[in-house]
Amino acid sequence: MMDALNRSLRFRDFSLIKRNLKLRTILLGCFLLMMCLIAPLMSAGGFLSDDDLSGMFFGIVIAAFLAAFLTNVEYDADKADEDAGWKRCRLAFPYSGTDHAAARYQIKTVIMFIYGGLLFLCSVVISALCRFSFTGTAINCYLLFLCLLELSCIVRRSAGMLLHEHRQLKRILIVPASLLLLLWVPSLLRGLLQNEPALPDNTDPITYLAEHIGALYITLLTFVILCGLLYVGRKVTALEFDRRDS
Amino acid sequence: MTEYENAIEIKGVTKYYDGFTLDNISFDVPKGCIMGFIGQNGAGKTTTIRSLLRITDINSGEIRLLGLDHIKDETAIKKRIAVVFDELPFHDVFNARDMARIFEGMYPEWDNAAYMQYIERFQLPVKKKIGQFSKGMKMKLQIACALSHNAELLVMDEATTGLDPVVRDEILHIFMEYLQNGERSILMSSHITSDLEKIADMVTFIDKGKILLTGYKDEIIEQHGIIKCNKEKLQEIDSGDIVSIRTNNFGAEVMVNDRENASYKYRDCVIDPASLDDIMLYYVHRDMKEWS
Repeated sequence: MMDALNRSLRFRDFSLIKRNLKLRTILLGCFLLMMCLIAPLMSAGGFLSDDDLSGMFFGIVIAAFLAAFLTNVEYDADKADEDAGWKRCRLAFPYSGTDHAAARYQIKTVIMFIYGGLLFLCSVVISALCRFSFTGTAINCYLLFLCLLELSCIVRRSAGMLLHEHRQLKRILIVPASLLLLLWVPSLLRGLLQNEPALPDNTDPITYLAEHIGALYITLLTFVILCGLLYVGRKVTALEFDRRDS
Repeated sequence: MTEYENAIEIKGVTKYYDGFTLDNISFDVPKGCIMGFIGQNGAGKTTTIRSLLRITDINSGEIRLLGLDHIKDETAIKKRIAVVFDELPFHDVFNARDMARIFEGMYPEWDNAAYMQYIERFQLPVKKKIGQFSKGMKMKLQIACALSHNAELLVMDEATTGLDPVVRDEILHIFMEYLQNGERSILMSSHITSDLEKIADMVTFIDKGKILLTGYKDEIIEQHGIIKCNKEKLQEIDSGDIVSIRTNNFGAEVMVNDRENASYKYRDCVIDPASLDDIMLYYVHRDMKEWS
């Protein structure tokens, strides 16, 4: 029964964002293609004197663009619910906020991974075409932007609920969010500055990996923090979905 | 499954809003009954319905639906009830088939065959987007969804408001069919009293957040009457018998709450039967005593 409910809610939410998602993915494809064309030209033309700087520039721009697209997924679904009046009536239907938030986050996570995959592919292509490489920077930046995105979502949802003096929120949100933030700040600073040189022709990939274990650690840490934020975000979203008029 | 006598039991429910209070209301909807819930706009009908569906939290009181506590057994109750709102809360991008796919997972007793029968009966297009539906079509779709999961209780909030008489009549007919086995109940809020006069067994009248009348419709109509008299005769009528007085150029129309007693006491007066509309109108003006 729970599976059927989850399937229904996933179908509902995905149908709501499908149209905009399609449009954005086409736009995104065009943008990434453009980047693949521009980057080699810039690289050859010496757009930025430093290759590391060029990598960082492309990494941040592409990751920011992808993350900005993802922000709209959540807003699209919320806005559709608001416009249709579903938000006003959903408590009359037999599912809890937890069920709905679970379905919403499943879709969100899948889109995050698909966009992450596109980013990886794009950065690999550009790295192969240019003198510089930015896969690490792009992935780190993408994860960091996703963390920011999730954090803004948590803040947005909880701000509304705090007005309604939601007691449960304090327990779920404040302590874990503070811990996550403490862990995340150093990774934010280091992650943005993390960039790796292109794999030299005669370097063994294992050796290369061992040398850049620090970069991997940052990526992993940011990923863990993102998972934590997604967990907290899901709980806060469930609380907001369950919120009743006071 | 719990055996129950009343599909809805509302006891001493109070809900405070800024500028409005649902004041200690109590009424029951017996199993197998259609309860008409009447009152003017802003009287508290929607607040009562939102409270019993737990869309809004109440400040005090107790609500039981299908014999279960409306807080403790919330999800179990909601699987067994159906709600029809005044406006369709479904998204414009969906079509009738999509709605079946959504509700199939939500309701364990969802009956796709019954749903498609209603869709066919209402002549609703299956693939057309809801955004392109007329108001009548939207309401029919909502009703088709509500009736397709074998719900034991149907709660409707102004569901027939804004529909033309032909569609309203068709919908009322379907509600009568739905009730036929005596195991199902309906709470129907409306300010179109003519609809309720056609199908309701019981009526509850709410005004300014207070229940003024609740009981069997025929008894309520039987009890009330309108005395038509001149101004001199009006002085002879006991103030205790009067709900309110409507004055006009020729005299007055007085609503009495005990028609039988009034017909003995005021033998030389004509006492007309009152409709639900009249009852609502005179009770709304009860504080003014005389109005025109």
